[in-house]
Amino acid sequence: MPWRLLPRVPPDSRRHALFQFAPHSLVRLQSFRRRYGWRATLARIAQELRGRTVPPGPTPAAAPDHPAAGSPWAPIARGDTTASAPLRFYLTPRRNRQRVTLIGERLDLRHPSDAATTALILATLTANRLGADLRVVTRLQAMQPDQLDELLQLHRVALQGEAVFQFVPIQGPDTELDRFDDELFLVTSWSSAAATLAMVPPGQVVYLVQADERPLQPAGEARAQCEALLHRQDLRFVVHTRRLKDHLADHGLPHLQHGAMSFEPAFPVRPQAQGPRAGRRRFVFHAAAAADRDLLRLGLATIEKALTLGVLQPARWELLFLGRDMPEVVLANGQRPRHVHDLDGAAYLQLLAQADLGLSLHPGGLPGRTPLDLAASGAIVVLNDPAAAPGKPGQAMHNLIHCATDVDALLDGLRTAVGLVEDDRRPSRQGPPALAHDWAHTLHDTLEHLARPARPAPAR
Amino acid sequence: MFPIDVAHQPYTDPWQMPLGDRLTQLARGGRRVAYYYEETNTSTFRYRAYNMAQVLNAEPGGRYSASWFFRADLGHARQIAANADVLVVCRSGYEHRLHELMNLFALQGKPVLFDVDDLVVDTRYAHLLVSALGQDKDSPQVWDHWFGLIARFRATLDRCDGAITTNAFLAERIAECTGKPVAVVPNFMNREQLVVSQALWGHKLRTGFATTGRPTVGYFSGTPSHQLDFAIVQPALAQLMERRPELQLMLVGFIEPGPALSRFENRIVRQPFVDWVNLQRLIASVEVNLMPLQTSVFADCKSALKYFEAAAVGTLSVASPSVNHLDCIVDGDNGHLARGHEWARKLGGLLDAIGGGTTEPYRRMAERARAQALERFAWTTQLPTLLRALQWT
Repeated sequence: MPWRLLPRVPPDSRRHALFQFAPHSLVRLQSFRRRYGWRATLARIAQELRGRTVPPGPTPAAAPDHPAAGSPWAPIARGDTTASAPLRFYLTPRRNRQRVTLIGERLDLRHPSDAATTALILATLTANRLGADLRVVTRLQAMQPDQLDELLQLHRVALQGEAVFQFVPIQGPDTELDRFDDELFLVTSWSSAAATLAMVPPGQVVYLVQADERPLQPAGEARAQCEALLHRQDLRFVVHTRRLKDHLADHGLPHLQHGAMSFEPAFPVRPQAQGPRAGRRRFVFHAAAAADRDLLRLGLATIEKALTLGVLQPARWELLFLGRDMPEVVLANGQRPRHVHDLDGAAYLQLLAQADLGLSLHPGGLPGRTPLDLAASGAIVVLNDPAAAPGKPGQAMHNLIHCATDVDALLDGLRTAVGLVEDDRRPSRQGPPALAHDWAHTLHDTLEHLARPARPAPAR
Repeated sequence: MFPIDVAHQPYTDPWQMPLGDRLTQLARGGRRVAYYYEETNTSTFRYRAYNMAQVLNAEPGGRYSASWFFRADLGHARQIAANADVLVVCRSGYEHRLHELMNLFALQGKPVLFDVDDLVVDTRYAHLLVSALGQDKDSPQVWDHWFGLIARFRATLDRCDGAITTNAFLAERIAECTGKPVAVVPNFMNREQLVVSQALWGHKLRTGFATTGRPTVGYFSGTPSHQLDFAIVQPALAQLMERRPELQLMLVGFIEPGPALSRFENRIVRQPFVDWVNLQRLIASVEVNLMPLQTSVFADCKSALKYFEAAAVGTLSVASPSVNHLDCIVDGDNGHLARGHEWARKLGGLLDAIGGGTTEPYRRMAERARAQALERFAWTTQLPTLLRALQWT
């Protein structure tokens, strides 16, 4: 507290403090009352008598039930400790470049980094399209600036403006961010959408959807908020892949069918084809382990069975588990898979170049970027497809084999894939030509859409 | 580091003169300008008043004269007004005695101009300014201070006939909010700076830009308001210091290393705030001069003085791409520009080049930077611009 109305007194004599005014305290009291009024003055005296440390000043307009009500200039309460806790913004005039702000929880680009990669590429190219700077705001973990540099070089994308990184922790120092009235906010999850929309008009917000987030939320308020946000029709939605957009539209969000843009991923990252390698071939297991433990168990059961039946022979196959959420396990015959995660760009490229076979399981059968990276690099990847009827043979296309979501179907898929990999007559590994190489091409329509001002929001 | 063989320069503030001497200096020219600043300092006052007066007073034949005055001199406002043709009020808040001085000039039909080097005349940016400076927003005194200060600057400016500022971007902002004519006179290096810089540059040339000891990057902060700017480059510095055990960081002035750098404490050389003449020696000693700036309208209003003061002593800079850094630095030609995500790569590349065994690429780049700095930002080349700003051409 820089200065006090009341004289400092020993704690045990606080209740007598009012009777111990020195003359200068009376002057301060009178001055404070004239400036802020009796109410603030009495509140201030009460706080000083209680020994609370608050800076002086008038009471801000606070709702009566607000924790800060009656507490002049107390730091703003941070009661909400979830990732959807409101971000605080203040409006400031823009007289230099426009800005695109990407908001996410982590945006960790150490590989595998499916959603963060796509979000940052989209944000970068949107900023370029608008002639804007890029601001990246994270809430659970500060982003490492050099990771963006590496990602952009890997994907052959250059940011034309400046990049700014701001970490606004949900708990911790109270931080507020400036915003422009023509700024575009790209949010990457329902919680970052909720946090942003607390103080940003919906017309400035674009919600990038890369997964069906609803089943990933625990039942209750989070799930309800997620549902409510996805149902909003005053937001612009951009959905990563047409397939996900169709899935969402078919599963309770029909407004997205016509109201949302979708785009397909691009795969500029293609490691150099390598000649025949000595030693074992590499099998990579990748699953959304943190989100769905059932899928993880399904994958482990499939791999166990493949080892037991000799589909994957330890002498010929090295097992890699890809992702930081993968568990430490001992598989059949004492096999211990090698864990691979948090790779930098060069290590990820090396992994892609050396992977021969992948098993990738995801909720809703909506693969993230990693299995497609593997396929684009020439590996054969087995994927789960919930729409496939049990027992139906897997469908192979573009290095991808889609199978029903059960152990036997996935095992069949692995058997087919191993056959393809070990087939000496098969042309040397190559990525499917159908996968796009250039982000500017796959994002063209989306960027044009984002460059147009948002339409006025329909009545909700 | 670059070895420095130029001795520490004895320093006293060259503007410390009795009022009588300053009035005499003012009165002797054919056309006379009085610069007013509230009190001396080594930043705004030096660049915007002392340096300007140095240029005018150096013109042979006594065609022009200039001197500087402070709040403590306002009791002599009539003498100042009687002996000057133009009053330039440098970044000073409105108060009754300053008003009296300005009024005396106005009553005599003499122009009064406002000189400002930051965007501190428009309260619409006060919130952003408080944030950019990392001030305690929960303190009402902070808000009182900044809104009050900006309003007082603006009140002074509103009573002036026009403004002078440091760059075109800031000039546009001032014209936009006041409608007044705004001229640009850049910040530049004065005679004393260039004398010592010439000696330091000569030594580097003679020794072929040879280095000794640890490679060193430096951050030089003349005011305590750059903590958030420095924070931009700290992740990259931490990464580079991790990878390069020989790398050293020099921090000069009002700056504290953040948590990311705490484990490299034994490789951080701290120097206290140093006078602006001997600062050139410190800048000359490092291989890389860091110039990170937060991206904002304020950053775009900042002059590129850190760049040209380093260039004058043959030290290369890596800078954020603010408007005025872009105006001076051609990336890879006379320095480097680093966006927020590029600092580690750009600094690493420059350090690789320095450590590559040949100093030739560094020397060539430093020569280009110095030549440009002397052409655009030496006191010897400023007279025409200054005369235009004073409306004397």
